[in-house]
Amino acid sequence: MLERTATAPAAWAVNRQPGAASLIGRAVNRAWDQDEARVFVEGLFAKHHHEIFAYLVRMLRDGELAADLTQDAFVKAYKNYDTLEKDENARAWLYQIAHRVALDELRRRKIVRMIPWTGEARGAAPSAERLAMDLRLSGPLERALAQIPERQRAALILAEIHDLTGLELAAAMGVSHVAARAILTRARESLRRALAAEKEFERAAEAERDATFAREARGGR
Amino acid sequence: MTLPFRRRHNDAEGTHERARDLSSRRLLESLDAEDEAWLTRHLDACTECRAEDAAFAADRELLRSLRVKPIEPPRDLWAKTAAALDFAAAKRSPPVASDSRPFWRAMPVGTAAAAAVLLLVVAVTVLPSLNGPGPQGTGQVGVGPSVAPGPTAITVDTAAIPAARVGADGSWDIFFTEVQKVCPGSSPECVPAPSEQAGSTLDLLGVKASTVTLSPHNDQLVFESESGTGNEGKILIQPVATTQPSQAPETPGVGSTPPSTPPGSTEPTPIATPPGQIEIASGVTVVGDVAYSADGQWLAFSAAPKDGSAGPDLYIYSMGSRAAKVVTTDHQTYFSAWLGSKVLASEIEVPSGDAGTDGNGKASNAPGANGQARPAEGRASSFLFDPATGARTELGQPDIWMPVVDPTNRFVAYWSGSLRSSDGVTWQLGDGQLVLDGWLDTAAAASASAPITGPAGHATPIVTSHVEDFVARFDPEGIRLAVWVSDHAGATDGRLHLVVIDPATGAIRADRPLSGEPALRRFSIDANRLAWVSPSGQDGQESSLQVLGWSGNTFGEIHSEPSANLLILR
Repeated sequence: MLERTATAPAAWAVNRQPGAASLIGRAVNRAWDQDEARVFVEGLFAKHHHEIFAYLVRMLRDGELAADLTQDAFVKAYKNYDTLEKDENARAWLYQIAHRVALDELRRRKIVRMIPWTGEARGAAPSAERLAMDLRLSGPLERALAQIPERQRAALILAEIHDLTGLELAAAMGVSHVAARAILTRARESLRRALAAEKEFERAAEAERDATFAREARGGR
Repeated sequence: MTLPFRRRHNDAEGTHERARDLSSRRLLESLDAEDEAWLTRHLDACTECRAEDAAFAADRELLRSLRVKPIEPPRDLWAKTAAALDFAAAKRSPPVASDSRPFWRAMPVGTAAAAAVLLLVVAVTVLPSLNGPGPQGTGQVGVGPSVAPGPTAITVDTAAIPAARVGADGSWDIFFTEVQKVCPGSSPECVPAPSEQAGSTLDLLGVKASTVTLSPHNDQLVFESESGTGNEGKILIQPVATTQPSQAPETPGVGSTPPSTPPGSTEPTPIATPPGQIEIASGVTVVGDVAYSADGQWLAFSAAPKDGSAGPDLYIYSMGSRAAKVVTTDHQTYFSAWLGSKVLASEIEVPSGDAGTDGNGKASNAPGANGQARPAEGRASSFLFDPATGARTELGQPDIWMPVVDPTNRFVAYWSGSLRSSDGVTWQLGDGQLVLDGWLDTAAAASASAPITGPAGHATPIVTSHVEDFVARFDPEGIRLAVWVSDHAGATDGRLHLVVIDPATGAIRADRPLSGEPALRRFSIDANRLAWVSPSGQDGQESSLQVLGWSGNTFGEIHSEPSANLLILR
């Protein structure tokens, strides 16, 4: 399955801007060659498309959209391949691209959509999109994950499911190593709270079901 | 205002926080021996931290169980990706290749046909999002293809509304909403669709949200840092990167290069890390609002020592200079508003003999002889300050507090009355009322024998409800005045009013377009529109961005879908 990349590339620290561990947009150290880029990305795709697709599914919870964005991530990798300094950083670099693609998409969803005022009371019920999304999430863990801020969610998914190292996590998220650890700590706290709330909700729902069953049983006698 | 991302620290909390950090970190990577030993000792002594440590580990196992859930990519993923790479390759090729063949001919026939279709699709769906929000809405695209404004639509075509959605993790997603049309409430079938443009996303963990203000050119933010990495009490300017594709943008058109990415995709995210923040003041906290001058060259605010030892002074920052200059020293000066290139500010005087004075009539921050804070009644006075020359012009009349003058210099809104304080440092509105008045400025007239600058003295109450706090701003025409009031000092939500002034008589028209609408303190008024954020409800209902637009005396409204933590930025 997924293997932790043992390499901790020293170049990351050298090239990291204060507060950011960007692997993209650094000084170009190789010329962009179309054929070379194509071969490179095809190799990346063969090796990593499964995990990149899985990451995007986990972030976006929409397989069709995740497929589109996986494709998008590899096109970006192709166009920017000359900015990758060392091939051994390719996996984290690819995750960084996918992470940004995911955040861009999530962000587009968050930007408010204006709707005309109909003369009714201002404010409205939860959006249909949100309700539909909630229904698709099967268990308490997935619902809890969906409730925490997306960068925190990304940190948990990348570190715990996709097994990125601390340095890789920082690179993938485009932040410093210290900031990545801090985000992960906050993510664990958020998840803990969200899970507790979900469990409480399930417990209450179960109690309600039991009570209903008991009432019906009594009524049926 | 309590924000979800605000953290307070003390020593005990600090050690628990360190334990939490280390508990989390050791699940990611090994700790050094010293940290490991410290954590072991702490966990032995702290039941709560031990429980949290165990919970982190248990949650981790739960998360890792998701690995076994199969997620299979679609079988045609490579085929689609390969086609998209072909497009990208074609786009990436130089226009004049070594073999001098035109780009279109270099493409496979099938690909060229698909590119032509894609060009059409992307032109109507994707390209709007690639235009960065320029100053005053430049770079904005028009209404999207779904817009079908009916005959009753009111065209307002106004400047973009800058706002942000604040994440609990300290991320600020800036966006711009441009409202071209609104519909009257009587014709909700008219469906205008404002265009939204995404701006930058910034990590502003620990900022005082009420101080975050976007510059007129959308190129920087100013804010106070409340907590975080040693940044407490600093006023900072953060450059804001404009969203730009990482490669040179292309102009779509007949025969132009096709879009490289398939529908639903985006250009590369802007990567550039903005240049560093500029610290313009430290050891202080902002009192009231921070505001840029209209040309964006100056910044004004009042700020008090962070330790609460004294009241605020007026600060002015000139773009490009190293730090903000404090231009008053009485610790009782409050920035009110810009009037052209000058600043309107107010100060407090306590009548001699009253508690809380220093003997010179100025409010004193020193506690009484018994060490107790003393209640005081203060009188307000206001002045104009020219940051370019340092010249100060007193407004002639007393009891003028926080005046705001309309851009055409005809009207002024202010608190007419006294102020009160329980400690001699923080002041609240006392007896009086919020009024609209005529504005006189004869200082520039050569014929004026006795120059007058200030209200004309024909005050009319704007609101009749109890007021503990207010913000007043005029539209550029100077005949519409938006006033936010709260009956509770320091509250973030209150009521928003919009009144229309008869320019001939200076009277407030009886029919008010907006009368006491629930709103957060931050609102934005510009030509043809007023925008505000409705407070979230007690039942968990989220906020929404509300826009009242007008054309002459015809008003219409539009609002966003509910969303958490919205904030208007200017």
